[in-house]
Amino acid sequence: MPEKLYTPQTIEAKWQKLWHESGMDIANGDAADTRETYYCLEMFPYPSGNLHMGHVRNYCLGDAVARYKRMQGFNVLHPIGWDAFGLPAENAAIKHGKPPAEWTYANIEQMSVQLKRLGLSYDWSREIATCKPEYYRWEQWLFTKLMEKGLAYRKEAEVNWCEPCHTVLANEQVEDGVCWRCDTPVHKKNLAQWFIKITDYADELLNDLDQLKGWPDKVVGMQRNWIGKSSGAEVSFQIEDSDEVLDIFTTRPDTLMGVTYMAVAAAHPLAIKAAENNAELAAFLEECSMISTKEADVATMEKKGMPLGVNAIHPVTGELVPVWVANFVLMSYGTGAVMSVPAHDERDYDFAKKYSLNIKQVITNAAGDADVSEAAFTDAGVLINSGEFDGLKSNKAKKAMTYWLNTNNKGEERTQFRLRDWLVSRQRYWGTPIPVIHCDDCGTVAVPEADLPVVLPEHLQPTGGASPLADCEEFVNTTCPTCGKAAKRETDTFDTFMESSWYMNRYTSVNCDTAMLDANSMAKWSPVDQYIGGVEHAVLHLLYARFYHRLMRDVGLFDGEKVGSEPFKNLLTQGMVLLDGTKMSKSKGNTVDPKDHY
Amino acid sequence: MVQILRVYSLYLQHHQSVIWSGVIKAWKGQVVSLNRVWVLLDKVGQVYPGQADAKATKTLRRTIHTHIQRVTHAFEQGFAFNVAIAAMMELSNALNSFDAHDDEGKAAVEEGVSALITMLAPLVPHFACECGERLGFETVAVMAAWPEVDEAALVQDEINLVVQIQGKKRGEIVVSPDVSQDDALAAAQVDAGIAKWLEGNQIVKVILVKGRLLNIVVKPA
Repeated sequence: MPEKLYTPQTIEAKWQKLWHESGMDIANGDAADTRETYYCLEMFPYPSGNLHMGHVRNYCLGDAVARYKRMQGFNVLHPIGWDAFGLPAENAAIKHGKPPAEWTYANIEQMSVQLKRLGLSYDWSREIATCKPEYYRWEQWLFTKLMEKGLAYRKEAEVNWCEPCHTVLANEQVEDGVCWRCDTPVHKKNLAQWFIKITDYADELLNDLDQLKGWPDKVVGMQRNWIGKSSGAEVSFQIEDSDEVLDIFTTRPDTLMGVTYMAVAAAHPLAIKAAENNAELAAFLEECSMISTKEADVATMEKKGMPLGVNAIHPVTGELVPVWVANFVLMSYGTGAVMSVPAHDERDYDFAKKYSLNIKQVITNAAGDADVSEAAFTDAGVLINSGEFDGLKSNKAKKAMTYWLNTNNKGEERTQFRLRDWLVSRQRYWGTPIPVIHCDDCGTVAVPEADLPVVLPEHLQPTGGASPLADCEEFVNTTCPTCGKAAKRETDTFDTFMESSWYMNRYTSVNCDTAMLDANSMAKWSPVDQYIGGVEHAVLHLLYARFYHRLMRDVGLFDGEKVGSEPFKNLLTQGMVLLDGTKMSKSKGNTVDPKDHY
Repeated sequence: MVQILRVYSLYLQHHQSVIWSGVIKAWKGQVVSLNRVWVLLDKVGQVYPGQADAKATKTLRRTIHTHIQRVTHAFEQGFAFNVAIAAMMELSNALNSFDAHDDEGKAAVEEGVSALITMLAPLVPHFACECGERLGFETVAVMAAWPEVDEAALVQDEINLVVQIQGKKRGEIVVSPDVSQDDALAAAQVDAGIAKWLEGNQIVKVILVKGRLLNIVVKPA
C-alpha cells in the first residue's frame, strides 16, 4: 500500500499556514482573558546562520510543552528572539568584509525561515533582537540606575585578558584557564573596567536556591559551589620589620597554632616587591601568571613555590614564620594570601614535605594518637601544642580562637564568598555601548535618561584588533551632560551576557516603549514556568539572569510580591548532541545542518 | 522529514548526550512507528467479520484510558517525553492488534485512535493534524483539547488473584477486584489445583492484599 504511506513533504507547509491563520500561537496579554497563564521559554539562539541539532532538540522540547499546555486550556506565552550581539559577528565581518550588523540581520532572516519550517509554535509578534536600540536602550537605562545606586562601578583590577579576542573576560567565561570562546590561555592584566556588584546579592542568590525545587540538583549544586560561601575568621599577620600586614581568611582558626609558613599569590604586592631585586623570583612570578586559575586545575597541578625572604609574625605566639609565593594561591580568591598548616591540610603538607618546611601538629583525635608523620590529619579533633587552647574540641576552639583574635585586635569572624563582582565591560565593537561619558572636568558621567539610547553605529568594519568604535569620531566626540564642554564617550561595550540576562522579562512587555518592563504584564506572565536549555549555562547565564531579575525588582520595575524573586520556576537542561565525541556547536565548526534531513 | 526530527528529539531523555551516528539509526525506527499509526487509521470505521467479544472491547477501552493516564502523567512529571512516546506506541500496537466485530468494538477503535493522534499532536503536530483530517476532525481541532481519562473504563470486572500457601504460590483465582476475604477464600477452596494443598491442613490465618494476593497460613490438622 505505498499510496497510503504518510508523505511529510507535501503536508507540512499546508498545516503551518492553517495554524498561523488560527492564531493559536499568540499569547493573549489582555487582562480580560482570565485563563490561567503558562510561560514556556527555550534559551534563545545566537544568530550564527544555521540551526544545528542542539537547537532543534531544544526547540522541539519547548514546542511540545507549549502545545501540550495550550491543549490543557492554558493561555501560553511561547516567544522567540535573537541573542544578536557578540564576537562571531565581528569575526565573520572580518572574513567577509562586511559590517557585523549586515551579517547578523541576514542570519536572523535565514534562521527565522528554518524555525518556521520546523513548525514551532512561537508567538512571532513578540520577537526580540538584542542588537536593536529599542531593546538595549533599557539595558543602558538600568545601568545608569545601577550607577546611581552604587551597584555599577569602574575600578582598576587584575582581570582576565584574551589576546585573540582582544578583550577582557568575566571569571565565569574562563574555563580551565582558557577563553570560553577561542580556547586560548588567558593572561592576567591590570585594567580599569566596569563591574556590577553581584556580591551584594550573594546571600540572597545562595539562600533562594532552596526555592528552586523545579531545577536539576546538579545545576543548583553548581551555583551553590560557584557562589561558594564559607565561614571562618580573618587573621592578621604582621610582616617582620615592616608596616605591612598579611590578612588571611581561614575556615579552620582552630589550627592557627599549627601555622609554620605563609603563602601568597604571584600577583600579591608582597611578592612583586620581593621580586624587584630577585630575578629568579621574578621569573617564577611570570610563570605563575600564565597558569590556569580554575580550581580543579589548581587542585591537581604540581605545587611550586619560592621563599620571598621575608617573615611574618604569628599573631598568638609571636614566632617568625617564612612567607612563600606559591602557584596554588590565587589573587582573585580571598586576599591572595593563606596561612599554611601542613599538619592539618593535605596541600600544605605536600608543599612542606617538598620544600622541607616545619610541620607542627596541633590537633589530635579523641584517642590522642593521630599521627602526622606520613600524612596530614585533616579531621576536626582536640587541640594540643596550643597553649591556653589545649584540650578544646575543634568547634569550641574555632570560637575561642576567633574571640581571642578579636579582643587582641588581630582578627575577627568572617564570611567569605567565592563569587566576585561581574566584570561587564568588553573592548569589542559589536555590543551595547556603555552609556557613559568621560569629561576632563566632571570625570565619568552617566548619559542622562533623556539622551538614551546611545546608539551603536552599525556601519563600522572591524579589523580584528582594537574596536573600530574608538576611531569613530562621530560616536566618540560629544559634550559633557553636566558641564557642556567637549567630552568623549566610553567605547567599551557590555558583555553580551547582559542582554541574555533580562530578555525573558522583556518578552512579557515587548511593546512597552515607555519603560524597561510593564509591571502588569510581568505580573501576568512572569516567572517563566518552564525554561529549557543547555546545561553548559548552569553558572554563567542562569546565575546572571537570577541576579538581573532581582536588580529589576529592586529598581521597582515589578512587584516582587506578585512576581517572585526567581525568573525561572522549572528548568529542563538537556544533554548535548555530540559529533565524534565533541560538542556540536557552531563555534567549534562541527555542526550537522538539520535542513539536510528535512 | 521535520516530523521525524521532532519526534526523535523528544524521544531522548533530557539529560542524555547523543552520538550523531546513533541519531540516524534511531530515526529509521521513528519513521516506522509513525507509518504504523498512519496505517492504523484504516481501521477506524471498519467492522470485520467474526464473533464479537464484549470482553475484548472492554479490555481495549481500559487499555486506551490507562494509556491516556500514563501519557498525561509523563507530561506532568517533568515532561518525560520518552516515556510518553513509548506509551503511545504501546497503545498504537494494542489498537493494531484489535479487530472490531460490532458497533461497540468500532466505537472503541475510533475512541482509541482519536486519543492517540490527539496525544501525538504536541510532539508531531503536522502529522497529527493530517491524521485528524482523515478522521474528519475540523482543520486544527485535533489540537483543541487534551483527551480526558474515563474513570469508568479503568474499572476491571475481574482480576487474577495470586494464592499463596505458606508463602509459596499455589495458583490463581479469577475474582472481582473488590472481592471480600471470605469470598476469595471460598473461591480458592473450590479451585482443584489449590484445594489439594489445603487437604488435611487446618487454616490458621488468611490475609488478602486487595487486587494482588491471597495469603493462607495452615498447620497440619
